[in-house]
Amino acid sequence: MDVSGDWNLIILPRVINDYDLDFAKEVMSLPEGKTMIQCYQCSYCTASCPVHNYWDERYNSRHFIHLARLGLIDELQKRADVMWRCVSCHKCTHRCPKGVLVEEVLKAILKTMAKKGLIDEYPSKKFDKFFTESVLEYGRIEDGELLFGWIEKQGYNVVKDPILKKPIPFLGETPEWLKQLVMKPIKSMNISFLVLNAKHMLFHPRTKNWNKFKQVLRKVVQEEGGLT
Amino acid sequence: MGVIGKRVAYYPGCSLEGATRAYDVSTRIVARELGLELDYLEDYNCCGAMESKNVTFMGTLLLNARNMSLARKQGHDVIVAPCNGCSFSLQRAEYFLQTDSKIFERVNSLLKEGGVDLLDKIPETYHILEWFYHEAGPQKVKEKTKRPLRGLKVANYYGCLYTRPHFYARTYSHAGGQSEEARPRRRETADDDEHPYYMNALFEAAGATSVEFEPMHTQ
Ligand code: SF4
Ligand code: SF4
Repeated sequence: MDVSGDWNLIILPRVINDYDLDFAKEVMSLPEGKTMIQCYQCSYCTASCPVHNYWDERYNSRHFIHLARLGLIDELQKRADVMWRCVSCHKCTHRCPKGVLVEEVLKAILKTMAKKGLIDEYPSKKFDKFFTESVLEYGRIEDGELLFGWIEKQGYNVVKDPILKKPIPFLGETPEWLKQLVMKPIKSMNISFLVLNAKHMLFHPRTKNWNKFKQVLRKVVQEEGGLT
Repeated sequence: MGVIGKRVAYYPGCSLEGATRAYDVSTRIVARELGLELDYLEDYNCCGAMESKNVTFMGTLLLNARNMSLARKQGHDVIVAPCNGCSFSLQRAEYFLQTDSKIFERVNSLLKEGGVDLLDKIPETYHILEWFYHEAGPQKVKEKTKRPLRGLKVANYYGCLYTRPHFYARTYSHAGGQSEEARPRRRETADDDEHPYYMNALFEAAGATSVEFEPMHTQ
């Protein structure tokens, strides 16, 4: 039997200590991870996956599920650089003939690895946390602040206004891709639209009845340990 | 036609009130012209998009449950969302609340703790396209069109989450599940899951020509 999950690889010698027997149980104890048990390794999910097909063949959802169920953590860790690349298109979940919530299961695997300290913080997780912080704080997100705040986090030298200390778009260092993305449409943008968005950047839109609910949310998030 | 209801709760989502304001404005105008009513969901919060679900499972359900509770408070059984991400998030919450009574109870007790009305019933979420198609339909759109989009060639882009995954969007057609009962029921009004056509039909009714755009239309 091929224990590595790589069908074309010479079988590596393995000892029982290489297998974390509780790992799969832990994944399946999460509500999103419950359906992992149903997978029968048909690979329909992988065949549908754009990340597998257009980005990197090493991104293989079927394989990740296989490794997680075996508890071969070192093999999962070898793929840590691609595991977070999922774009949440849900083709896998949609097409799985066994009713596995594949996308959710993969996220549950990542969550479990992070919880057990088996994986370093990966780029998508950083953004997820940044985004969630904003939602928890205000109840709503604001695209401009999210975008330029994120750019600041990436180490770009943004210029901030002196009073509210919010980043001012395009005044400081801006990545080339963003300039190109915005330059063309901005010419046809209506002035009141620009004013509206500038206003939102300065005064973040908020949900009004939020404070009490926010406490509960923070408590739940802390229990799950997602922001740590 | 006319199975979802002409008056529904409208969940625009954060982006429609900022960076994609044009979509919000045109949605409201189209609904009004078609004789449909969007009841703005007062004081809603972010749905969590594709990000917060990777950080907190229960927190994300709570965010959506709060919005559902607001819709119930305004007397609605149906929420309509124009954004794929928002309708996905609400439908995802609907799925977990409906299939797991423990989760439902936990969510309700946390809502109470947070000073939000309990969910007596889980409202259903529809994507706005599905609503337009079934409550107005191509015929009505054709009648109401003032300046036909003649000569305009459109590539109809539906995006990833409009019909996927079938568990949440209830677009089941060929995919599986453990058993017939375990599968979520296909919604009567659902679009075709792999070859959606509602947008094509509505645009064509308004006079535009849709160009061949498969398979990119749902990528
Ligand atoms: S499609 Fe479903 S059953 Fe097949 S390998 Fe993927 S998760 Fe497993
Ligand atoms: S949701 Fe993620 S794993 Fe699934 S098909 Fe899309 S990119 Fe691949």
